[in-house]
Amino acid sequence: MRPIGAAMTLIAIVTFAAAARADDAPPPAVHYPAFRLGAFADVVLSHPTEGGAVEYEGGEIDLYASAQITNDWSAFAETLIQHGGKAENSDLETEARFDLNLERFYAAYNPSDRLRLEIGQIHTGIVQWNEREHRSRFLQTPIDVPSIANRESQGGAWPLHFDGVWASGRVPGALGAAYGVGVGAARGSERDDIQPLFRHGISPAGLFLVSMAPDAVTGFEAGAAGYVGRIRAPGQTMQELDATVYSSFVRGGIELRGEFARMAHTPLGADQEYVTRGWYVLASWRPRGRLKVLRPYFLLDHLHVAPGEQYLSDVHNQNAWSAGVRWDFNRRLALKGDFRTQQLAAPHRESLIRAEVSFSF
Amino acid sequence: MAMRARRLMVAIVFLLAASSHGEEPVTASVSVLVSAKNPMRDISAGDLRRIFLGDISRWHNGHRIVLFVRPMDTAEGRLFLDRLVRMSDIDYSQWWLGAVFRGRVANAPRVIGNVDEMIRAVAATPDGIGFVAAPPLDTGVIVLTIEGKAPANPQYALRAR
Repeated sequence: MRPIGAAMTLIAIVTFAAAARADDAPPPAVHYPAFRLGAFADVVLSHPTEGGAVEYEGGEIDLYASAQITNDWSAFAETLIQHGGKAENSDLETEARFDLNLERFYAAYNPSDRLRLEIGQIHTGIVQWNEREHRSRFLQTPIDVPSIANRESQGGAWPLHFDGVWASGRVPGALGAAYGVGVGAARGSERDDIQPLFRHGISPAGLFLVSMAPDAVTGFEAGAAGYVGRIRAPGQTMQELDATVYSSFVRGGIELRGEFARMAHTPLGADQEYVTRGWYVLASWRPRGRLKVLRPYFLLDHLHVAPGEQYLSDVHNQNAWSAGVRWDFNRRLALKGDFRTQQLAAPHRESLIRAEVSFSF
Repeated sequence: MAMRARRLMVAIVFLLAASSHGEEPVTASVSVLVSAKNPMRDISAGDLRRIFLGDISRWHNGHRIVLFVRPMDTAEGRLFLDRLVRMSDIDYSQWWLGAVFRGRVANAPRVIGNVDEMIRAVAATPDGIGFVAAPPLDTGVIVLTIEGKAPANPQYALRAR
């Protein structure tokens, strides 16, 4: 009962804070410097269908601050505090009860829509889910983050963060084309090691991203991303080559998203190649009229880790699906419930009924 | 099993029936306004959508676009969502939460509850853009044409069908 009590207390505090916040008043027209503080929070409860008690699965608070310093310069910082409950269902590793991570911290120079430069710790954009939702579960439709978008420190395989420089922009025109290129520090000797840009002896990484959202098909977007880096793992150096393709269609209440990611690690001087693949498909629909507060969804999530790769030895295969409903209680509070069946370690599968309360404040 | 299937069918029929009572816009069209000081006179529907989604944040002169919107429960707000943004009010609100969270924009659009105040705000903001239900008789603002068509044109993009 204690975790549930703690969760309820958190819900009460956050609800009160959201109600008391004067942010519902319209923001003024742009005056510089403009600062903004915000946060997202969520709590997940689960109940195994095989029996047992309702358990607290985990909770997180995502705090962010942005500063528009001048017309062209801005800064952004985001930190994520997670608390793991029932660890095997949580994103957190077994030993970790609390986890505090700096998600993003960068300065941006944005003289036009065609060019935006960011320098600092940023999201790589190699997985579009992470680029779009970042870490907020409030903004995403389902309860779960797909396996390919799991954070490095939560058993995720892909390099979602890096320290470096990222240039992005959109190309004017009806094609809705956008690009991004970046250089920075590759991953460190551990899978979840985000190397500081100015550490001696780092290996470089490069990124690119292209996408289009044509006027001819309102709501459609497709893109591809690539990442190349060199990993200095214990005992060997590996070349990393990742490629991702994604597509989405979001219009009139319909939300369809899909993404496929491939990661190849090749030890230098060896013929062997370790290939890890993952994909997800999300379909959801928001009805019109009185039921517009509801959004039923279905998520398929798959991850196949390269057999025998030591660098990803603590990343697990996944083969899961979940079906549920998101209920937007108001602009700041969403409740989600779903049925999920997942594979934590072959051949064991489990099914869960879960509920999530998520906030924006 | 048959009982379950019947229950599922009933639930689906209920969902469809309830969702058919949509909030249909009742205004004829939405007029998009900019300040008379803004040289823009025509815009594509695609670029207008990108502006109100924050994907385009600058005018051609490099100035940041200042967005004003009417409340989404007004007739013009619903028509704006239905014909331009193609999202529900809930999704539009969450879109802007996400845009700020992504670090791409400093603020969500300013919501103007009163039509006269909207016209005054756009007129007084050279980099502003907003919308109202009916073309205003005000010299301080210009009504943009969309792909060469004025709000009275039956082919105008932001017109109720």
